[in-house]
Amino acid sequence: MLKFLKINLIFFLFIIVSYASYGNSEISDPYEKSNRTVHEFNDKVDVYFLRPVSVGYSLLPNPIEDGISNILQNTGEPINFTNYILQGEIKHALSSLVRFVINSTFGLFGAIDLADKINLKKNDTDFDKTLKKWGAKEGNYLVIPFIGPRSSRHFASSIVDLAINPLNYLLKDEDNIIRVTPTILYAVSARSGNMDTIDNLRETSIDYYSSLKSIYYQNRFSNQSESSEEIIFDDFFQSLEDENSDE
Amino acid sequence: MNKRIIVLLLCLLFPFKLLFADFKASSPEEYVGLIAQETLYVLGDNKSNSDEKIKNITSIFLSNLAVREISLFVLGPYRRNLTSDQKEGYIKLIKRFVSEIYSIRLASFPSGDFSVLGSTDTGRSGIIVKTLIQFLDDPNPTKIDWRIIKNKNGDFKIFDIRVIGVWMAQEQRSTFTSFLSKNNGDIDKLMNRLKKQLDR
Repeated sequence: MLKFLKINLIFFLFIIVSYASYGNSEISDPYEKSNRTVHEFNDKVDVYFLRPVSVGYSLLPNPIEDGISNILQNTGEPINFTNYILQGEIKHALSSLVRFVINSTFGLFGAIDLADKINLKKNDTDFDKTLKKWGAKEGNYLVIPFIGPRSSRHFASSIVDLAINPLNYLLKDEDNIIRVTPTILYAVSARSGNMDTIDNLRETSIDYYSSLKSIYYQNRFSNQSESSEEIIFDDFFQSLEDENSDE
Repeated sequence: MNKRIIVLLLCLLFPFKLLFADFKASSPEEYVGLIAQETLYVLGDNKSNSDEKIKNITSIFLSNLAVREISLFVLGPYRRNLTSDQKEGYIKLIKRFVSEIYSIRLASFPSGDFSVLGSTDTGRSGIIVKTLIQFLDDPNPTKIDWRIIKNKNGDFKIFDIRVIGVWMAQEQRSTFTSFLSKNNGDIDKLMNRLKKQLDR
């Protein structure tokens, strides 16, 4: 049965990534109607669960919050290591490995980022960046229940990253509630760190769904395609100049 | 009396006059520096509550935003639907809307120190001034980029601000065009929606 599920999962990922590879360079939103329904659901989860829990979490003393955040970040190092190897970035891969060893031992399971203090700075990567390097395109815009905005490539890669996460193996014999705790903690920690930003966005946007989509899109491409971003501005100012000269 | 001393005295007597100033500067970097300084001053003013801070930052933006250009940019392809009868009212509304939105979003930050990292001339779409702000409650500095253009009078104006990787005018453009696509490009409906949002 497990083997059947694994084969299905691989097939499912193949379908998503193949489909993604035929998308254009910008995220299209052909599933907007269903995406908006999921967005409404996620928003309710945020309002009635995530936000109140995050408000409570933010009352913790800063060193405890930082410690939890560091431990969660540290569990991401094996994901970084694996993906850097797949990308052929050996130097970064070794850096992630050494960071993980130092922080997991001398840094009290990652609570203290000792590696940073000896100038081994954290670099993040994921399977999505690996797929990008391998040439897969972004695909369509999706809103995933409990997770939020994802491009289809990003969503498919998240499943792979989840499979690489060492916590899955460490906690595999524990109760379900313990197994999902790191994921919930990660969400709460991230929400707590962006409390005002998200609240203000919800309050000030005339279309919260489109705002989140734009922010997701801009964040993902901010370091990748400044030139394509400039085209939007350039086209606008060009047309403005043309209009002014016509007047 | 020395001219500088008079200016200093005026600033001491009427410190908030500066908030309503149309900043004159010889370079985009200097212009951004003046605005950032003023905004951080407002954010760090312990005597003001959150609403007063928003009001004061709104004043800074009201006189320093490239309103006409922003108003047209956020409409995207629906710009052509804007009639000359709607234009004046629409631009006034956008001026208020965008100033308030920028202010509400920035007012959630504490005060801090800022430094100008440099600037990039993008040609006709203005100059991007990159700044780094070290907010008091965060050990990691925050990158804020400002897209500055010159208006018809040759004065610098803010066209867009990028906070944590997100250009705000671009985000507004996404929401406006999404709204208009669902309402047959009807600008009046958009204006009514904006008025409702401002009255909340």
